Amino acid sequence: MIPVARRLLFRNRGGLIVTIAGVAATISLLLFLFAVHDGVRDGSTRYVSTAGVDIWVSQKNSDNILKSSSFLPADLAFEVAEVDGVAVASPLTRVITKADVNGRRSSTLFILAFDPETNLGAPTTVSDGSAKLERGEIVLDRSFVKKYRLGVGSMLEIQGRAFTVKGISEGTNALVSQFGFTRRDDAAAILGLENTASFILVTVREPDERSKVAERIRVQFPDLSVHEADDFVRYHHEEMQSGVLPVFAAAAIFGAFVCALIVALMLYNTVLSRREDYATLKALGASQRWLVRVIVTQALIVTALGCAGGAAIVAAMTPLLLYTVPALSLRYEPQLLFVLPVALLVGAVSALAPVGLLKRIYPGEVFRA
Amino acid sequence: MNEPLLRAEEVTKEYAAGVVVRAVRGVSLSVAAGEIVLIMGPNGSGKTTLLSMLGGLVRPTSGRIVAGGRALHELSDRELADFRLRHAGFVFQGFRLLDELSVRENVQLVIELAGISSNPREAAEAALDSVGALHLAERSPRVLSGGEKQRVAIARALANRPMLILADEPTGSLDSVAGEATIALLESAARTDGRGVVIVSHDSRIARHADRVVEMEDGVMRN
Repeated sequence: MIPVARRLLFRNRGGLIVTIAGVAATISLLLFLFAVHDGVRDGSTRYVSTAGVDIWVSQKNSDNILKSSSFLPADLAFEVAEVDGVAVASPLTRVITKADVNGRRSSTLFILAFDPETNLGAPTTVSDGSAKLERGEIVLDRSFVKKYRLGVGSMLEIQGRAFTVKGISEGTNALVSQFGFTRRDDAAAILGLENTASFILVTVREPDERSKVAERIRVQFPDLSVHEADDFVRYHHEEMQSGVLPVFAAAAIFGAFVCALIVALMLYNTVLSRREDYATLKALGASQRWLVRVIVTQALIVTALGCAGGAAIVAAMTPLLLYTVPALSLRYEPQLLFVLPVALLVGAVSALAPVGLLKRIYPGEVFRA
Repeated sequence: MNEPLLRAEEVTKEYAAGVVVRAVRGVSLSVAAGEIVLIMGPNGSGKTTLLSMLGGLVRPTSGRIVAGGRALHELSDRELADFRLRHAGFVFQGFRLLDELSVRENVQLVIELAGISSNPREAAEAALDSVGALHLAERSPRVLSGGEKQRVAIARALANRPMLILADEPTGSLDSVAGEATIALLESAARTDGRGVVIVSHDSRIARHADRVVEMEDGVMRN
């Protein structure tokens, strides 16, 4: 078959390029938004999902480390450790604070302070340096380190106490704040509270027994919340989703609308500017259905090229964005490919406007001078 | 003369543009196989409107048009498109070739739309060959002379093997040599292939080749 749709589309190269650029910009914005979304989700949950903890014990009705307060006596860990099936029970203290970096007040840090004897709760995603901490040492999230131009061996102050950066962790950037990790004794000094923990972290002797052990802890400590690891990770996902998902959904819908509008305008203009050709095709006997297929094919071509352009923009811009905005956490998951069929669907729908115009072109127009 | 391929009876076309304009009023006309009918008349006489109705491009406001046994005035848009595709070939003063397609593709497109050949490319080349334009097959219409364009347009009109050829000022944009060649091709379509040919023109040279000349004025047929 003669590629009529493509030939008619490509004759107005200037308009086509502008349209593809518009679609590409929209698609790249959507990809970027989804990458931020996935990055924040990862940064908010990777620590809890990789900390090697089987059961998280917290104050009643506290189910995440991001947005709920929990205060427990640290020596509760000794009592929990006595529960049948528990291998290790270790306190984790959360401190939300800012640091002083070379006289500059930093953004908020979520400091998670673990017991250096058990090392339970220490970050497992340290890519530079080490998570084996002595007093006065800290592990910081990579984006925080980049933002404040720190490195392993750099110094900063927290609540007037000096810390040396011992390691740099990955996947610990929740966008609005980043994680840091210290020993519990340092956190106690920062807080001025000796026997306070936020969570009791538990590992079990037999992984298959986790639910049973969790139930035993619940029975023995009915005033506490006891979360198995999978549930605890899920709560973090839900917490994050409930806060940002509507925002991203609204942005995605708006982006799809803009994309549809751009394609519709371009196709409408294409049909309008070549009205005589469409009248000729009708006069020669081309059916309305065939002509609609031409328009829809053009919409799909423009959208597909726009998607490719959007992906290229994202590929080119991502390193620049990460360099200029270190706090950004971008993750490009395979699921992002769903943008392509959705965009193609939106593109096909956008063909409705020019199809309406096409209906109003009469074959008899072919005789007009 | 053979049985008419096309018969128009008391055909009227009115346009409502603020006031009602009667472009064609009560015209009756028939065209037989192998016959060339020339419609002449001043601008605004209604000859092109009549041609549009005869070719199924426009429906009459009243009257009947029967072509190849089909009552065109009763057909739906879709059926009219199918009639044009399979039974009518059009030749326009402005050629109306798609510049984005090659010469061959312009002809091939009609064949593909009609689905009348298992090898549309060969069929298109045969149609071009029949009008002496095969050597232009892979060129763009943009680079052709007016005469060459009209040859290609006639090849396109013949490609779907229609029973009727409807030509609107086919020599209007051509010099005398190219005009004569165009007339010869249309005459051949009628005399050799037995197609009915209706030509709207101011060009009195065509009258010598026509079996009948119809004069129109103010939407009315004068003879």
